[in-house]
Amino acid sequence: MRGSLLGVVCALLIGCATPPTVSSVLKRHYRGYDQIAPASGLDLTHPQYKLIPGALIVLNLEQPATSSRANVWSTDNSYCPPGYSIANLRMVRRPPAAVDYRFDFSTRRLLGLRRAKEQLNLEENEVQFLRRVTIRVSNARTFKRKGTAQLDDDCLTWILHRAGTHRLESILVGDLHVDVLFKDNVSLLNRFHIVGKLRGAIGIEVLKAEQYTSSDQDLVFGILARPFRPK
Amino acid sequence: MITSSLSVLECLELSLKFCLAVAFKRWGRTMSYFLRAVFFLFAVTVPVSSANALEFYYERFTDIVARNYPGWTPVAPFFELPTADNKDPEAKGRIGGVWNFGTAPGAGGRVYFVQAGSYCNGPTTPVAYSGRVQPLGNFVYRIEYRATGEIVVRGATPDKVIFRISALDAQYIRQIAVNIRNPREYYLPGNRYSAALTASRAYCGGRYNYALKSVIAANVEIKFFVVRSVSSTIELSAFRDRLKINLGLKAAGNISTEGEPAIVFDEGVLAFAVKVEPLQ
Repeated sequence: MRGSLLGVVCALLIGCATPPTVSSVLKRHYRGYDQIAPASGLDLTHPQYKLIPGALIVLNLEQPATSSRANVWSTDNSYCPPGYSIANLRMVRRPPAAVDYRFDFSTRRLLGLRRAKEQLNLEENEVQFLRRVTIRVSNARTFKRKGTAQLDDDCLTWILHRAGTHRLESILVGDLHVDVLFKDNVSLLNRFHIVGKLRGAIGIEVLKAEQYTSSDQDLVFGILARPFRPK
Repeated sequence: MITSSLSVLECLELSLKFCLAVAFKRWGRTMSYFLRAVFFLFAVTVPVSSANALEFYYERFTDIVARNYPGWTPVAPFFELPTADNKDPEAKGRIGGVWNFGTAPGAGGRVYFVQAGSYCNGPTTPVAYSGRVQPLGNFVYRIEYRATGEIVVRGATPDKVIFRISALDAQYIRQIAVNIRNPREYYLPGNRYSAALTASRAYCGGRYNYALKSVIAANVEIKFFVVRSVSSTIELSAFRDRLKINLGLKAAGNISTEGEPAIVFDEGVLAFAVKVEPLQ
């Protein structure tokens, strides 16, 4: 009986364990939005920015959605801008969100350590230095397509021949933070190495504390896109 | 050159020790010296042939790029992009230009492009849009020492070299870190890219195998963390000068002695990954 209960608890823990990735944050907190990789910095004013809602853009599916993660798309930068800038669109504020992953030794096997390593792109001997990783989104807001886009006829003719053409309906913008809590006595260079693999370019002088946060601001990391079918 | 960890050498070392012991016992010192000389020649000639040596740095880099920038391909060596105020249509890296790229194997079955500056732009190639893109993670090469004194780089195989640093200089290096800061993505709307490419192909002829569709460029900084025994400014300066010459680095190189002693080369803005279209 006790063994059965333990098995049920383990199954629940495994099922509920969500690795800290951007796509899992989107799935849980911003339903309908998929991840665009790499994320790009928001450009409010330039009409040739590729991620303006209303643009036509060719998307390639890098990772299909699962029960815990949204789709991950990339683009080959084949796109037609809609003829206006993001500043002309209405902004809607969204609540902040976070996904937390704890590397407790007693539970890490139950929680699928291998899957966490794959999601975080870390080796076995790197994961052992971590106590907790959290991905947070703050200052989240969306911009949605407005009216009819003024697409260039030449560009429309050019892109219609390409497979994977989508219309961007909406984008999700925010500040992304990765909080890393190291275990005790992890050397500075090991911390530098691991945080560097997790997120962004950092300065070594920032890594003296046991907890480190890397932040990127105003990133377009989520999109809502539909396959484009010309009338 | 630094060579990677060689299990072959370990076997040879054990074999040599056994042979030396036998040789010395049977034939005395002369034969043992002969065997030492044979081993030395074998060790310095077998592990790396300069004709077959690959840049391990770029192989490993393909994995880093694939994880952070899916769909992008690294290019080696990195190349400079024109500055924002450079309107010269023939400048390197214009979107819509045509290039000759070779390919080389990277990590995980991927490839990276090899370029030798063979490119051509049409006379009206426009200046591309440039936008911020998420930063690339730092990646670090760990250099360790075996008990036998050989230099080991984790993950390498016998035919790889690292930055073509001599073994004599490598003993001073604890770790090499490549820091890629402020990356930006360069691209054009579809019709403008198509028009630029058409003009380039008409102007440049059919000698090129790829069209340059997009580029990611960033500030590239290479840090050499030095062992603590090398602490004097004179020693670090001399070491810095050798690194600059041997690696063909552009920057002068700054020496930092606060905390971990290090030599930092800020190479400026370089293109390190591309999206291309094959030309038929």
